[in-house]
Amino acid sequence: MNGVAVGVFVFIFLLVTVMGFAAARWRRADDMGSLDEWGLGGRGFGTFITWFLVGGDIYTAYTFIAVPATMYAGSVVGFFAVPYTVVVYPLIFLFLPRLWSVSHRHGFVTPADFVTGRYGSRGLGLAVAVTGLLATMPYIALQLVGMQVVLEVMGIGTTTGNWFVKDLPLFIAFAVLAAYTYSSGLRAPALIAFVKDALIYLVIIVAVLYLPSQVGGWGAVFDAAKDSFNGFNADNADTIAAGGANARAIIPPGAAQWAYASLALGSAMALFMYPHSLTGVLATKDRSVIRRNASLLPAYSFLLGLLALLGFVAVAAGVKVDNAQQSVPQLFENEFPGWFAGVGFAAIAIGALVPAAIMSIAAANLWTRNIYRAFINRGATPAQEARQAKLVSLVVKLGALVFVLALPNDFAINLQLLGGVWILQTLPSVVVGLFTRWCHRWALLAGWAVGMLYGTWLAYGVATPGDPGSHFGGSLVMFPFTDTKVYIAVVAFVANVIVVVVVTPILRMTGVPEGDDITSDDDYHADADDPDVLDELDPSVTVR
Amino acid sequence: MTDSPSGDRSRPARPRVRRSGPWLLALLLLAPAVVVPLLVPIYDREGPTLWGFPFYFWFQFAFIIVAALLTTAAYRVTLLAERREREASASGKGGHR
Repeated sequence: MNGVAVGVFVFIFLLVTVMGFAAARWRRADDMGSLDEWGLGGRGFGTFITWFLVGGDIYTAYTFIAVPATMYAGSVVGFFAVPYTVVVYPLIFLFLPRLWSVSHRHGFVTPADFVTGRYGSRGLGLAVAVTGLLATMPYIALQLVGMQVVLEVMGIGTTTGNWFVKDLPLFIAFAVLAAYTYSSGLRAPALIAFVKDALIYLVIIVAVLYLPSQVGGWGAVFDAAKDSFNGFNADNADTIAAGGANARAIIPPGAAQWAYASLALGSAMALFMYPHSLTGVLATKDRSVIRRNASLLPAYSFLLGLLALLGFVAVAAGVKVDNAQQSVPQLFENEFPGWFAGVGFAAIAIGALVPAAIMSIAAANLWTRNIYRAFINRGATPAQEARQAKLVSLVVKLGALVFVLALPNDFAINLQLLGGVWILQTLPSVVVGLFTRWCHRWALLAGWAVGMLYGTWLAYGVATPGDPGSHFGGSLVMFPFTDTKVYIAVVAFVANVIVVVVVTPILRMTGVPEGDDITSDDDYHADADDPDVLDELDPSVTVR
Repeated sequence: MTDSPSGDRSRPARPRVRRSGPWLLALLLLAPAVVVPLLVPIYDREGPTLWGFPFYFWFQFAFIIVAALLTTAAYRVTLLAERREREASASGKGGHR
């Protein structure tokens, strides 16, 4: 344990905690007792805040730990995070402004609200909401995994065999997070995101300028990684040939190209189905903020790519860890002076707090709007809604904590990818619904069910390399009737779409009721200066 | 309830003039930003290297910048288009509602 590093880490953590509680007073509204205020920060965030908030959402502690970890482990397919975060912005550009407009005119807080209103179906809304909750839980857990890895490398709590003492720092961090999310809502992560990103940018820029020079420059880094991977391949040639391990390389082999492309595309399409990414978007003050951000957010992608390469730098610098996720924190510990290593650790840990807060708020919004108000208390007042959401945000975090302590952390990245498989199955209901009402609501529900079951079944059948008969060991399967490996989510999505396209005309011919659509054509283009948009920001306006 | 309320631009619920030209241009600008990163075979190679980076890596870094520029251009186009549509519908209908 390095005393200076721990001291700097604790100081920054305390600073952020104070900010989290103070956030309740920032841009304060007259009344915090509604979901628009607590759960969407009053829907008044401009370009600047949104850039930090959405950036904090997409580029999480998980990203900072897991992406370089896959590179360190010689699986360059993990670099798909870069094309994924390039492909995602044009997609955002095209469909999110429509969702923003319709949500502001009708007071929608969650994607499931929109689906319920568009298709006149609480059942379809419930399916979308439950999927969102299922996919968000492991994602919050992953943020904890990221934080845990940093704590381990710092040597806090790991020197003891006692599970309670070992996990105590994580408990404390999460108790603090839960407390200020409860009191400040979305304002807390929005404010903390500034600190998080300032620290992350500082650490990464210093790391990519300073660290490669320590090992002879970028050319030497790539050469060292290549030599190391070739050495591994030669030493384990028999195991690799028998399928017991994957060959390592610094660029993807030809056979992995479709896997790479499908992971990038599938993840990009899935990203904005996650309730937490929509929370950041719906909190913006007008339509153009989203499009402007789509052209500014790629700055983070550049950062992410550089960070991913730190996995190779760790190889070149001779970092030896059993758990690849520790490679980058260990690199900081080995190569940086103590105080700067502390800054780096704090950056990653705070990088876990921001998205974890936003995700738990998004999950709480889903529960409150699409389960509590839709089925349990149909006449809920805004104050009752806000109270429910605050309580549920605590429950969700507790659930994630249990999740992370009960399950092996090695599954972290694959669990999140399973969440990605599920959440992508809501795309036809949400995104297609933004452009056309052609799909029948029960066809969408059938497609969703098929996609969920098929995707889960496919993921269940994937064994960890070297461990035949194990399950959920990866995110790739052979595309049906071919021998090309692709991302499971994309295969399940194709099945989903086929069901929707086949079942819709059948239901229409047999005259099954389509449900009432409360939205109109013009709703999809409304902007902040349209008078009726402001009218409907009144939180007492109810959505069916 | 209509079958495709949002897709039907010839008969909008309230008058808002939609010109398709600028929107098509925005789509054309955005298309390469989605398609090129998915065409992995065109950049999955080691050479030529740049400042020690294999082609595979520097191409993807360079493309982040290209995609950001394309998206910015598309943003400008749509901003202008929306402003014009707003003015057109305001003058055409004398500020409805």
